[in-house]
Amino acid sequence: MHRADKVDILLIEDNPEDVELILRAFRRLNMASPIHHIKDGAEALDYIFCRGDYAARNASSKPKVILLDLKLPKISGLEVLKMLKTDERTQDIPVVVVTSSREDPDIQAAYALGANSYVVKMVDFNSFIESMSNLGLYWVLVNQPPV
Amino acid sequence: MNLFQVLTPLTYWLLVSMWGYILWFLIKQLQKTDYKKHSLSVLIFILIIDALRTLFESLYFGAWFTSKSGMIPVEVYEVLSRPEIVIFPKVLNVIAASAIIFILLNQWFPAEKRSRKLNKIQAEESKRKLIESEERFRLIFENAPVLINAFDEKGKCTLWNKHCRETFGWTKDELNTEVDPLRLFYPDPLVYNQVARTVTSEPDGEFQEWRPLTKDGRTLTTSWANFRLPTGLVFSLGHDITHQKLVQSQLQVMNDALENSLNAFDIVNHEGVFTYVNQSYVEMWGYDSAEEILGTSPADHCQDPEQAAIVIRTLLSTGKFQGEFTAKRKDGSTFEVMMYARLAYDNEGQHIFPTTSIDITALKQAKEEVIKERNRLQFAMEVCHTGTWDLDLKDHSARRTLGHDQIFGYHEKVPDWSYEKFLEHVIPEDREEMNRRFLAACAQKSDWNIECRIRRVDGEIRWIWAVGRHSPLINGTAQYMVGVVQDITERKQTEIELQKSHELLEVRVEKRTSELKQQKEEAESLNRAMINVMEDLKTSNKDLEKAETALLEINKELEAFTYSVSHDLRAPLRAIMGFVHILLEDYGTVLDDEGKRIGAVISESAQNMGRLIDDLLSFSRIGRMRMQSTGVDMEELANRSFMEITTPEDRERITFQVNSMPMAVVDRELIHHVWMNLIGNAVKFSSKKDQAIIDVSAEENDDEVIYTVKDNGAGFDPQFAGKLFGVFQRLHTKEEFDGTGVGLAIIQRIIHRHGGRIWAESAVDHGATFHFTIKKDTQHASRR
Repeated sequence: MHRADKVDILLIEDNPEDVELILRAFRRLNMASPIHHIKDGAEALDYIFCRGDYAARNASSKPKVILLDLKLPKISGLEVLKMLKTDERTQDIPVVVVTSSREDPDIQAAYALGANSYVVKMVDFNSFIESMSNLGLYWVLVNQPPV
Repeated sequence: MNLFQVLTPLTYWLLVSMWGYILWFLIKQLQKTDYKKHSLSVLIFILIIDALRTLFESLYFGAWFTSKSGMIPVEVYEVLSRPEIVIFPKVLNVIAASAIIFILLNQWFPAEKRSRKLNKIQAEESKRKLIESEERFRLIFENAPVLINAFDEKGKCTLWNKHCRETFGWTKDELNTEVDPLRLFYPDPLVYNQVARTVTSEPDGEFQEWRPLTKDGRTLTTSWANFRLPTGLVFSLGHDITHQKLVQSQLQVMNDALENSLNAFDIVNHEGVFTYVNQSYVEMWGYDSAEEILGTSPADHCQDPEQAAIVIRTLLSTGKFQGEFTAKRKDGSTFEVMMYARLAYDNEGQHIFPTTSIDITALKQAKEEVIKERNRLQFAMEVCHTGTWDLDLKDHSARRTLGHDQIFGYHEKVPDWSYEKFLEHVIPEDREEMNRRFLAACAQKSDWNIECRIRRVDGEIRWIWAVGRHSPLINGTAQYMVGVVQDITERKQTEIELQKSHELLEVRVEKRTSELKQQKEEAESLNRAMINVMEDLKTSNKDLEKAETALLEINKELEAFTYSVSHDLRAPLRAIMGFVHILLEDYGTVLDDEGKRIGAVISESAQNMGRLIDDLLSFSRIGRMRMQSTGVDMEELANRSFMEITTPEDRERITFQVNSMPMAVVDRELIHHVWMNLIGNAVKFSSKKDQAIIDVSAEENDDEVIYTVKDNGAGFDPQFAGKLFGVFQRLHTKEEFDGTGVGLAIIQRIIHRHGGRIWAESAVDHGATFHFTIKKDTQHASRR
């Protein structure tokens, strides 16, 4: 079994500080869900479609939710989203777009491509922790994926 | 011995018994007053007889006594007393008594004496009477206009009277059969049995309905009752009630029809009150039931109470009434009715007034509409010199309006008109073409649409335009054609003149063209000079385009910058805040108070920067946003803003006054922001006053409205008034009054976008007054 097979939350985020804060938020929730972190768009596609480093990964094992930052090196978040949502194998995985600002014009574009939700990375730490916790609670524990 | 010696005593005894009897009889009869008179005459007769007898006996006894006395010789007496002399009066006496007895017996016992004779006469008399009675009965039986049957003791029908035979159509012979003729009347055995049973068992005199058949197969409705004789003979009496039933059911049908008629129907009697109203009447007059109306006067049912009297007077004088008037319902509302009533008599010979009414309100309105429409049409046709016609396609006769005939030059309507007459009016040059088109239209059942010239009756030639349309087809043929005709001479003349002037114009144009040609050549040389100028212009245009492109690029860069500010500047801020938080959370135990304070300062600074970024973003957004102008109640908006900004404690401290302000056509959301900011500033900068006063007002001049927000707060130094609306410009320290210094820059941008101005005036500690203007013209909203 590949190390990345048993994954509930796939976090695609390039900013290490944000990654740490997000992971901390989930940790606070005491969620046992395994989280896998990916740093750029190219690696994200490799993971999703079991290519490159992830060729050995079991494709039928899907994460419960993907947290996707739109500003990613190499391949942008919107492109990753587009490929995810146009592929039959992966289009049913919920994708939550993570963004810095409510004003982001890419939010509209992300919804048009089939994003399931979006969450703002709040500047205020407490708000940030709260929004991330809500997200984890809903998509990992409450939401039932279609069978 | 002498014969008389025996005979005389016998005569005496005979007399004793006879007179004894007579006396006894007379005494008896005298007790019966009826015979008194008769008895008296008998007594008188007896007295006469007795007088006679007394004469003889006196003679006898006189002679006896006289001889005894010696006055007469004894021989006279002896002669007189001889039996043959003595017997003489006695014989007389016997005769008289016999006569009396005869008379008496004859008189008082005639019945006994005559009984035999009488019995014989009486028997003859009874027999005659019986025959007569029988004949009478037979006549009645046979000829009574009642159905009579007689049944024998076994229940077989044996007799039918004439009425019965005629009603059922059978002859005497046909009924005289072995079979019970009742079976002919009731062929259905079940029914026959029922009928036969009633003949033998039903009680007397009770009528029952039966439906027998006639010989020719008709079914009658009859009613029968049976009467039994002691001998067992049964008479059945009946009558044919078929017609009565028919009349009854017809009467019922007519009554139902009347009751359920859509027309209102009522009867008023000679006392002038309703005795009948049908359902439609009740509904038409808005009552709940007929009982409410019966017995009341019709006067209440008319708007003019006199109307009912008028109707009745007319009925009494002419026998009928037909007219229209305004009726009044129970609730007082009115409607128009048409009424028809006539005078009739009830079975006591009194006047009654049966009346039919129709609600013609809608009809009247429609009629008025039609009249209006017709007048309008007529007027339109008069104005347009148009006439209408309809042509019978069989005989070519036509009905027209006066307008039609006037077009042909007649002052009054021509008595008869036809298609042929029309053709005569068409001038010969147009006639053939005209007729051809008419026949073609008739053949194809299509519209006939022509323009032609006619010669009017006064000789003048006019142009007309006629259009005809076929009536809807019946069995594939049209019955008539309807159409209009219009005098179009003026139009035609205009057309012809237009054509002429057109031709004239063409000549002129040609002439002018050659002139122009010359001018053109001159112009061309001029043009060449112009082109040079144009080319110069083009170059400057290109410069302008370049500048525009540059501007667009700058704008794009600005957008990118804004985006970058919102995203890229936030990430480090988030990291700073997050990690300071983690630091304080995880290492709080190893940090001393100063360390914790420094951590808090870092966190607060970062938070402050976050707010600055947010304000800056909204400042940039307002420049880009699309505005939606609507009518906004500024007074309400200012009040609402104040309520949104302040807490109940604030409102206790602040006297907030809003004077009346006109409506404005602005973007509601943006102007809301302006009020929030200006009133918010006024609240903020007067927060240190115990009695703060904020005054909001508006002043109108010709082309704009000036809005003012005035407070009695901290105010500002007027020499920095120009800096107020710059981004990040603050006139107070953060410790004095919190804020980022972007708010006024934002609202200035909003006011500018509405084409208005904003300025402020103040003196330190004397409060601040902010003014802004909104143009009255709704077109002001410029986009920057």
